[in-house]
Amino acid sequence: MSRIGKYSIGPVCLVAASMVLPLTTVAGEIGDIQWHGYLTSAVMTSSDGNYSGDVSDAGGAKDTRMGLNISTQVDESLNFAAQLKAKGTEDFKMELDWAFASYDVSESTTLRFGKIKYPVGMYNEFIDVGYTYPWIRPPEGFYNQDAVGPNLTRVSYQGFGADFNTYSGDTELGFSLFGGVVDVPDGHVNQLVGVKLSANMEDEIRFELSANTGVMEVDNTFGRQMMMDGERHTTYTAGVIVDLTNFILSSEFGQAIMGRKIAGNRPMDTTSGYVMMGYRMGEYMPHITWEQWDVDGGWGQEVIGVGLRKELTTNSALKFEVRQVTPEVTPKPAGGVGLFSDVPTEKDVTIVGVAIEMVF
Amino acid sequence: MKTIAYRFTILAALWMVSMAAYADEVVVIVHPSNALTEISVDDVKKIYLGKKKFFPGGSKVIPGDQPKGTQSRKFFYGGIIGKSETKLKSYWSRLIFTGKGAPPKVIGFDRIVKEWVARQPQAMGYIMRSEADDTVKILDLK
Repeated sequence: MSRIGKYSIGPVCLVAASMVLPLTTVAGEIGDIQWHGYLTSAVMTSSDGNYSGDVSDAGGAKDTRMGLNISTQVDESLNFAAQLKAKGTEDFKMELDWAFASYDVSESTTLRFGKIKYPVGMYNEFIDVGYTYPWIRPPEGFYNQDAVGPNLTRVSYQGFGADFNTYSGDTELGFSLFGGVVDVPDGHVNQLVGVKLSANMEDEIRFELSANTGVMEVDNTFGRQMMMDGERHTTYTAGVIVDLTNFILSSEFGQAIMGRKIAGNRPMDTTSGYVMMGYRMGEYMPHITWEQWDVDGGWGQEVIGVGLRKELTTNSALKFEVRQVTPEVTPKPAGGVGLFSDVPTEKDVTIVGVAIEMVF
Repeated sequence: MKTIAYRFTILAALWMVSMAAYADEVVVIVHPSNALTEISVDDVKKIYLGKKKFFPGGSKVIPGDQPKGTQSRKFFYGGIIGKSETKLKSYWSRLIFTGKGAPPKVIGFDRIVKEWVARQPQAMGYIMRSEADDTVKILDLK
């Protein structure tokens, strides 16, 4: 990563590239190259405590991020795509988000190889592209990767994916198989394998079921994470999105079962879920979300949030959000409670955020 | 409240009728050498939403698009595809940023699309019926 002093030049490179590249691009035919990008500018503040490692009462703009996406059709069946990103939560370092080749075996079957976004969760594959969903942050009980307790989602994996699609009337049915290795801080998830079933009714109602399993390999020789070394964990998820002309509902539930037992139970087993409902009124969409994150060890949290999304143009939106986070009282082994890295003095913590989202 | 709901229903019905009528003024065109004479609305939808990559019958299709703001695009997406520009942007964003698809290439206005289709045997386009001539073939929508 190129750096000048303490500043990362990643975002500068991305901005410069996004300004120059569209002038040279065409798309759609073999050999053509498509460039796209996304941009989020966001500020958030909490009434108390340090939330999720990057939101405090001092405020911050760490949800600010941008990405640049390239894809090209090599021949009638072979496609290559890659995405670079720079995020405030990762010190704006530019990195390769994903890059893979996909091969259309037939109209209904596609194979992928490379570094691929984790396909578990209905928003995870495009989780950095805020324009595609109502919230500033998708429900964190489901999508956050907390240091203590298992995460239901992971960023990207290196391996393969196979997608099979068919139609039953107007309903598109999908079956996906994926497997490989995930690099996580201080370790890896090996022997990863998962399946996903989906049904899509004219993009108005979408269902998804998934299951995946993997074995943790921890490089540390100390601490709580060491307990997971060599342990197999399994994750199940179920989700639905109803997206009608005005009404939108989104709900997902998941369970992660960790291999390690302590004193007769598995303190890091997780159940999480959320329900969001919104209603579009012209350019405005108010929405409300309830989410729950339960950990057997007792350090989960409950969140209720309301937000407003306003379409600015056909490719940009303004978002405003207020959430009340109520962490459970049992502190995490590593300190803190819920997604707080310390124990807040307030029982209910308010988090306020505003964001502008854009795709181009 | 009842009056507002009544007016809204009338307006929505009028909008749907007008879009259906305007959709009739937009025609789907292919190269004259293409063996097809008709195509289902469902197949056109799938082709323009990246869910179908081949013509019915098996040869590769390259759909061509028009820029935002043209009358043809408004009638095509409003009346045939059934998606607003905002929903369309959101739909393609989900595919683009997962590497699973890319929107049709924007070719240009009616005349440019017609000329492109006339040159490209694999092409499909849409233009206003009044712009079509014998350099391209109009597909009947069923």
